[in-house]
Amino acid sequence: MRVALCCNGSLESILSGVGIGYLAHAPARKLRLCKAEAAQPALDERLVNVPAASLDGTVAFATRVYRGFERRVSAGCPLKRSGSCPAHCKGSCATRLALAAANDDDGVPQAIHEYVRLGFQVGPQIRNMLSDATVARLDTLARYTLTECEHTRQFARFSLLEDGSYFCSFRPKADTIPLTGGYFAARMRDEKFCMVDPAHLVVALHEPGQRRCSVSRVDPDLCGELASASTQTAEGEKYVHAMWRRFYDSVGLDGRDASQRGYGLRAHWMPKRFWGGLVELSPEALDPGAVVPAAYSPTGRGHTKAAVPHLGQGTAESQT
Amino acid sequence: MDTLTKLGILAEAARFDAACTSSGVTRGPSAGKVGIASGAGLCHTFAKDGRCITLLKVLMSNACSYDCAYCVNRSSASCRRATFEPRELAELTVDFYKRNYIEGLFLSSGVLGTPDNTTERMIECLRVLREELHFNGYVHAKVIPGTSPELIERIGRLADRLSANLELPSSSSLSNLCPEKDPKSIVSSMSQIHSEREEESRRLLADPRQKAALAKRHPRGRRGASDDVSNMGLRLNAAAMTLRPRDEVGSRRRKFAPAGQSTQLIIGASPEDDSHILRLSASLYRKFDLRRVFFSAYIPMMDDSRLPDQQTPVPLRREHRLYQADWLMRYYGFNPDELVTPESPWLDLDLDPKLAWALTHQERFPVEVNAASLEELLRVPGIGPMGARRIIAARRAKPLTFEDLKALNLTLKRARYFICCNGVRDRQAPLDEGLIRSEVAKGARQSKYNKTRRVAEGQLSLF
Ligand code: SF4
Ligand code: SF4
Repeated sequence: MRVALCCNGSLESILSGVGIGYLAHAPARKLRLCKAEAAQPALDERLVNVPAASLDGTVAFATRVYRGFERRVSAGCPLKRSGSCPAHCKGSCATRLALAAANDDDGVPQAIHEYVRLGFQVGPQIRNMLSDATVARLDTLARYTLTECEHTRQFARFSLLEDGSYFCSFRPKADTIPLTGGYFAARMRDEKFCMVDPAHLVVALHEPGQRRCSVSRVDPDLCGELASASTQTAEGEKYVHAMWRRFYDSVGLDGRDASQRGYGLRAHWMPKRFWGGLVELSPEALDPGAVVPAAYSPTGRGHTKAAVPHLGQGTAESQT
Repeated sequence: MDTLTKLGILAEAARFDAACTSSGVTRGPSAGKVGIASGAGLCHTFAKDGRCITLLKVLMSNACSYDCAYCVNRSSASCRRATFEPRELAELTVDFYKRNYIEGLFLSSGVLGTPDNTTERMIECLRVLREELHFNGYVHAKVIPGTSPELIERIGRLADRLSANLELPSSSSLSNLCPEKDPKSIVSSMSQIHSEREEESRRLLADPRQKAALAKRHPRGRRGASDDVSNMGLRLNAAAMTLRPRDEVGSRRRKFAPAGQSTQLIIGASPEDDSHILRLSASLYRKFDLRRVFFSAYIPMMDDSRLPDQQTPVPLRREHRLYQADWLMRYYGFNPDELVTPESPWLDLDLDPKLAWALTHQERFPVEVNAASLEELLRVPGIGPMGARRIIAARRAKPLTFEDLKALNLTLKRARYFICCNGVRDRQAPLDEGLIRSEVAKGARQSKYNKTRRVAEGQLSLF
């Protein structure tokens, strides 16, 4: 009889499952790891849940497995200098496990299981086994997460709220908010901001001056409540959105689109699933609202305006 | 005029400048400052034409007193004119940055009276941005032709990258189409930027503390990043894999134009051929250590007897081929003589330049993937900087087969004709050179891209 060990998909839970398999001396072919919500036992398989230890206990156990794996695969690495990994490598021997775990694919637990076992078996050699099926599978999962992290950095859009903080709701196809929170904290070190991922039910909160965001898993109700906060934007925010949309609409060149190229370059680089969240493509951003923020008002004071002329309307204006 | 209206006018006026990268400088967060600069750059959105938008690319003013034949902002054109207040544009940059719309500002301008006047206004904008709004993100500033050296020095201390645009590939074309621009002054601006950066390198390298820090940073010499094949399974970006020697000092310690300089050439508005353009680019890279030469396909907008007819198609494919050739020079170790010659001075529009080169140098193939050097692998059509390094990393574990190459995510569609694994060629690849040539060239010419181009240009498809 084989066993399908069900975990909750987090790296801690997956590595605990891997550790349990080791402690139980279960041969790899007798054990499969899967996500509890997607568990489908084969005919000769029994479903078993990773024991629900206390959170601290699971994390401590998973950390032991992680550290052991890291030591084993990084042994003798010639790239390390004075014992630490260079910036471009950044411990990627082991951090790729976390990247793979953030992928939404249902096969993640088993891919990590097989990779960790292979790593313990062959040691540092795993770093060069790029064409091995187990390694290639894990790298593909991890690369996808990296690409989604890049998309998060590219396409997350913040709005200024009434209370002076910034808010962003973003739906990536991998659990990227915990992985990119630090990047946004660096970018907006002195700002208070909140990022919500309604797909993975994750919230990252940042306080001014902090190096990191605090990341929490939340229930769908709280997530919905936070997302509704995005409607309480600051006065004049509509004008900023409209400026961004105007800029975007003004920079495209004619004669360089799909009819000339044979394919749409925009959709290639910017997947359509993100378009709904982009201010520059939002019809609402065509309306600048009634309030012009002080910095952009010709009088230097914020004001409520009657109408803003669009390009091509009104009389030709001289330079300011 | 309110900012929304000005922004529309001044963004539209700047859209012909091809440069929009924020790469070349890495700067971490700093207390009390807004933003960071990440060396690899980041595209925040893509315009309807597919071009990446990384920076707020605008003109300070389009009220230009010059009259360049091809330019929509020329003094004789009847367009709406607008000019930003320095603080207004600085505030706009920070507001867009905080909403994650951009990485920073690309500031150019029409000539507002004189080049020095214009540059002073640009400097004031950047001063407010850097010193009053504490912006720590990326800034690219254009050097207005004819700007005095003192002002170039000042703007170079506020911007990350400078660009003095050559605009046209020869001084005779420049004099013909832009009579007010002096080719010598553009070259002398480039030369000044280059010498100031060199001087800064020398100063930094002479300082013993900096020297020690640099030695720690680059223990493996100048090639450094290019032959590094660590972590190839996860690397996504080939931008750092250039074969050009890296900057010994790096961007972090520099104060003057830390991301270096670039330039732009308009393609198709004047008669220079690709051979001329590629040789010019190669010499600019060499002479002034440019980070990039941008090519901008000429878009007929103005009626002028000095310009090609308004109905001339946009030489988009030509621009694309020139970028590919430029990439081959920077990332693959090609020199212009290998890609174009005085006898055959145009790049083939149907075949990418590397494939065209490989088809005329079949004596160099097949390359044995298990033994070839990085340089040899980079010459194989279909194998890029990332693929070549993945091969080198993976073959340390075992001799590679064609199946292994697929597992490495390499596309073998083209490469299969030019490689062998352990002495064995791909079964589907013909042995005869003539057959390879016709099969590969036919495949390339039938691509959707090429078919669309022919239709767009009104040509009959031959296949
Ligand atoms: S992360 Fe990189 S430097 Fe560190 S041990 Fe692994 S391969 Fe070596
Ligand atoms: S200097 Fe020439 S190219 Fe530049 S804005 Fe003026 S007219 Fe246009």
